[in-house]
Amino acid sequence: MSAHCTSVTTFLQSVKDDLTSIVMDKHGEGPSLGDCEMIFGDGADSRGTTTEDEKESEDGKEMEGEMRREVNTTEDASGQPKCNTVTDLPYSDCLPHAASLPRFPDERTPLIRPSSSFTGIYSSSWSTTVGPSPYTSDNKPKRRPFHHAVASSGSTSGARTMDGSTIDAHLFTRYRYYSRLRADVHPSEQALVIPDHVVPPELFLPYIPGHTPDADGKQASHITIIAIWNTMMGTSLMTMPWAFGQAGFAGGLIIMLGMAALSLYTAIRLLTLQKTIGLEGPSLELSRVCLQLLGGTLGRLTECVTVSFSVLTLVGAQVVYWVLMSNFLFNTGEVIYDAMNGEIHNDSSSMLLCPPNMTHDDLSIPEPSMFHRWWQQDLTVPFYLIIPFLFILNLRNAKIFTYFNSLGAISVLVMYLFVISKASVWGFNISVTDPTDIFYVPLFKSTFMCLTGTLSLAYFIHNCVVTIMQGNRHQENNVRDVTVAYVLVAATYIPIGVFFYSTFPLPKYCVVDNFLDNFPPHDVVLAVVRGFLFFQILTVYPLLGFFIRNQLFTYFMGPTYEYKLWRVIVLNTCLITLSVMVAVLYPNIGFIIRWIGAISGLAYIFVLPCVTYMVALYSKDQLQWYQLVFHCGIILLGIGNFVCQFLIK
Amino acid sequence: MMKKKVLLMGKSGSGKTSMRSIIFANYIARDTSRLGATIDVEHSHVRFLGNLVLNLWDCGGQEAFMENYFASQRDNIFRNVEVLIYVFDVESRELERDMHYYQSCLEAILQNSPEARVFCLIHKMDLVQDDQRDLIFREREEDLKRLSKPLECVCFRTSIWDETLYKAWSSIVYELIPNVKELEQNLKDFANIIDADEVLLFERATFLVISHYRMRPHRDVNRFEKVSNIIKQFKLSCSKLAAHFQSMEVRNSNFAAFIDIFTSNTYCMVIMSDASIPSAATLINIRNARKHFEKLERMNQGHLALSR
Repeated sequence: MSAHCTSVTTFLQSVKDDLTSIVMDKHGEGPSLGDCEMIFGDGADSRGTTTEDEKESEDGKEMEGEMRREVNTTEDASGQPKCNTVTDLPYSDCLPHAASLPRFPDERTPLIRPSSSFTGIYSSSWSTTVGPSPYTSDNKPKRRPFHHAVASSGSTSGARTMDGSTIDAHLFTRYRYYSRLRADVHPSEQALVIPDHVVPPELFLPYIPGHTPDADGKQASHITIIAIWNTMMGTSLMTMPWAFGQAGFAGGLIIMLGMAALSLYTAIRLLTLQKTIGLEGPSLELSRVCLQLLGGTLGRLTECVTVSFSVLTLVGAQVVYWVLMSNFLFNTGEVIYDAMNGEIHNDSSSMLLCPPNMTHDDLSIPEPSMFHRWWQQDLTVPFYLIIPFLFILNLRNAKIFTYFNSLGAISVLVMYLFVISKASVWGFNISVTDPTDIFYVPLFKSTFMCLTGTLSLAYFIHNCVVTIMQGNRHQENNVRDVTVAYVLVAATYIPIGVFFYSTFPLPKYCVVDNFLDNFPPHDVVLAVVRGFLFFQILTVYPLLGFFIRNQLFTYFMGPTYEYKLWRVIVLNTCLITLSVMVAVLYPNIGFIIRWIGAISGLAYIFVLPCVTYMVALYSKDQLQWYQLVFHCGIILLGIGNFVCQFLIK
Repeated sequence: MMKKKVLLMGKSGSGKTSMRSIIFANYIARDTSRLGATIDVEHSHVRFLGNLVLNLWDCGGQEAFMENYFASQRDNIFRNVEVLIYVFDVESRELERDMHYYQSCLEAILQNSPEARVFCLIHKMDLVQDDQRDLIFREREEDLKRLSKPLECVCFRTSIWDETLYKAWSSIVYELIPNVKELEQNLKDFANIIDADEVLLFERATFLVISHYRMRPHRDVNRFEKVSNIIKQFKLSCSKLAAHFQSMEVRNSNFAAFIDIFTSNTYCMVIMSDASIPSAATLINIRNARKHFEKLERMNQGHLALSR
């Protein structure tokens, strides 16, 4: 029974907090909840009849009797009711009557974490964690299950209409209440489960350990910048050195800086589109704004086009991820095998691989061991990868994946430092003037479109920049924050590309489209990095699958499509088949990345922002000739980028 | 005194059970697979506003059976109805059929309880894009008003995921109380006498706000729903222990809030910002006011049945 009572007390604590915060809103001061007390009336006088929900049971009467007794002592001689603190409730001394009192599910409400998983938090009822509360009145934790602090009174004056924070607080009380109503129901029953389109967008943010979201649900600028950086920083990082080399030294630098500036410009155009149109109100999703702007059939066409490009990008990303996962898993397997066989590699730091030369060497190996027959990067590992996904794709609770997402950022930092340290050791091994030098790099190369294509994907954030910036606390700083984020991203990509390529001590054609492959598997630092990246990609893959599924089904069946398992399975099977086939037959991620980059870049980076900006200005009769020329120029660049991809053999 | 009915009707799957469970704080029933031949009728004896009893009806399912049952039982069903609340699912693709059922209900009402009030809820509005909601609601409202003649229906658009559901039901309850203006005036006097910042009056079964008076403006316009949800959660917890919630006081250095049973049909919530006033004083005041309000209610008990 004490388990019951302490769960009740925990709940009462939260009730008290909620009521306090509602009332305190009106005074606008921070609540001093420490001295808050709750006092309960007795059931002694039956005032009026009660609802028929109650049963007049033996236990019920006994309970009331106990309560009556307790309550009589709450009034002192002075007539002032003695205040009971929360732990001294009348209930706490009651004894249970065998099995008649129902088991109480755990009272703790789920902690809200910023989460990039749609389904993790809301899909199952809080009450599925059935069991007694582990807390007694002695070790009850001081934390409150959910507490949304009242915003400071200084920031507002007078009557304030509903803003993001109060909307979410209401949504959360509703969610809690409805979850309680679902207490007896099997989790598969869909009644009163919060649907995805109701979940506030602030929850779709990267999980940063140790950082808790503030009261108003928005985050400070530096967190937004980190979120953007984290989202943009992807697998293109490993392609950077190779891609830079494809454009020549000067060409590479020019293109890298130019693309960064151009992507930034168009991202800002998209971000401020709503203001350009003159649409007041809360910031809407990009597709909604476009729909408003273009309207009617043209709007629907745009929607179709945006969805297809978006899905195409995601599918391409999935395929690339499968290839990379096979790569990382293969190398990790090699490391473990070597370690188990006691092969110790010394001076691994100075040994470098030249994969374009290696296919010949491989053939000269006399007898590949049993392990190596079954563990080949291109032929077998992609299939082995299917096994973990059979489990992962069935996992309902995807919240655990959000933690692994942070590993990606750590890996990037480690790679960055690794490259800088290697580069400083190797020194500059480059010559731009002497064509006979083995380290010769021409200033401009005709294969520069590899770089442009890769960068289109590397600087790609345009389809979610509005969503991410919605969470920014000071909206007026949006443009500044996006600029800073882009500068940071460029400052990550450019050094890695330029320094690695310039200082690489082997002939430049050895640099491959995944620079980790230039190092042997047993390099310790990189082995760890590969491990981290493997786990990170492992967790992002199903997330991408979810996005694809969501976008496709929403487009074809509306936002209320029914979740039918067989459809999901069919889609997943197709996606995995595609990924495995590409990984086995043509695992050339440089190729895939530049194509995906060119296609999605064409749509989102070049065409869409320019077209919408020009239409917006035109509808306000503010379109100047030079703006027209400039933006049409950008569109032509995008088309040129796409077309040139065909020209590379 | 005779119990009058509140009929909650609508097509199967339109959200009536969820709505009822939210408003009346009942646990969601396990999904009983609806075998074809039974009509889903729930006679729940939740007392509501004194002498009203809520009946929940599912219209839909076996059409032929429905028509038969409707024809043979309709007098029974539709006699003594105080309020008809009809729920439409905004996503429904069978508008013709929905309207057909609705009109059959209206005919039955016209024959058996012509004094009944009709409310239409366009439900699940969260599934509509927010810039289209007004448009779609106005269209439906026009159609419904036209179809309902000579009866008059009041339309609301609702969704369980925002404040519109609570507001709609609050408005419905507000319309059903005959002397609500008088109640509000009395509340205002009560608040001024005891120097309270705000006084709320809740309906007892559903914690819908019947009337309120506040001395100072408050920023949060949807606080009633929040308080209501919180207290209903608490009532649910209490019911698990076979106890029932009677009253509550929440106090800190800045305010004191009292939630107490008031009359036989209502709860009241009093917020005092002067923390120096001892609780006992406020509780005595509430107790004395109770007698006055009960008298008010008894006077109008006979008139609690609606007169237009």
